[in-house]
Amino acid sequence: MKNSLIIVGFFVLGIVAGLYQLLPAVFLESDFSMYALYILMFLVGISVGSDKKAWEVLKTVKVKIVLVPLAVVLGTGIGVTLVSFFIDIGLRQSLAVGAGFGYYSLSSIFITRLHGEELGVIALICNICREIGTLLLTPLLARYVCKLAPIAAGGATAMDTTLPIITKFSGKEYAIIAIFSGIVLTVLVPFLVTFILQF
Amino acid sequence: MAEWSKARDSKSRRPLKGLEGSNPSPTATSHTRMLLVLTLMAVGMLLGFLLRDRRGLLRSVDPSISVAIFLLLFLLGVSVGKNEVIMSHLDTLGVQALVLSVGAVTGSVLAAFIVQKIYFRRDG
Repeated sequence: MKNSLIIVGFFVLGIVAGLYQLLPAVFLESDFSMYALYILMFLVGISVGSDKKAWEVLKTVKVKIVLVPLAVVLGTGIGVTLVSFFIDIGLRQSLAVGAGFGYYSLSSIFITRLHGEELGVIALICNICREIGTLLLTPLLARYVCKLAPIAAGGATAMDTTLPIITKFSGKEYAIIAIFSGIVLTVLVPFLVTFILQF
Repeated sequence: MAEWSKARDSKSRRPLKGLEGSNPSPTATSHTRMLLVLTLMAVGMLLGFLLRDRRGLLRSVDPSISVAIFLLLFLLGVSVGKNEVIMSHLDTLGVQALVLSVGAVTGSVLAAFIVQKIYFRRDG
């Protein structure tokens, strides 16, 4: 929660700087942010690859655990498809936003790159809402729907930001499923978003 | 011989129409760039796996990720702030984003419910 506030803070700060043209033009060269993105993704790769917890989890899980991130991918796709008919955003664009799975920082940057700032902003807000919604709804979901529900709602965030609350309300035995599902979805985000916007 | 080497010299080679050469053109499309991004991530994962025991070396990775994310989101904010079309529709964009997140969460939760009932039954 604290992290999302900081990120929103930087985003709002950027809006103010852009609105009042406070920045020298050097910062606005699109190549500048492209290099930052290269560095970011390389570091994200190192972070995931060196995560011992992640590799340990892989050794202990049963095969059926892959059904959890699979359900999140399919469920998100179907849900987003249905609501896309009620809004002003095309199906492909909606699917790309949904494929952020709550990983708002990365998905909004990717979508901005591939499709433009407008959809990037939608991706940012939508996926922040997904994270905050999961934090707020987890107690209810775990109690009235099922223990996997908070993990599914959290999407990619189930491995880090929403993990503590999921563990608390779904139980410790669900922590490994949450981490596994979160890691799979986190790695999938850049690939799926690029793939969807390719057509 | 001179002809042959010239035809295969990447610097003199003209890209075929509709085809990307093996070297990215100076104006590489955003998708070509994104493929490079994904490749970098894969290389990073391999490197991270190989270096997984070098804690000292890896300590600065996560803070650097935060800095890069802050910077990129700040820059996204800047381009949004400069874009009058987006700024005047921020409320509509917000509502549409909210609708999408409701769809995404509801769909995921229902799919997870099915998986739980069929495959993870005993833990309710």
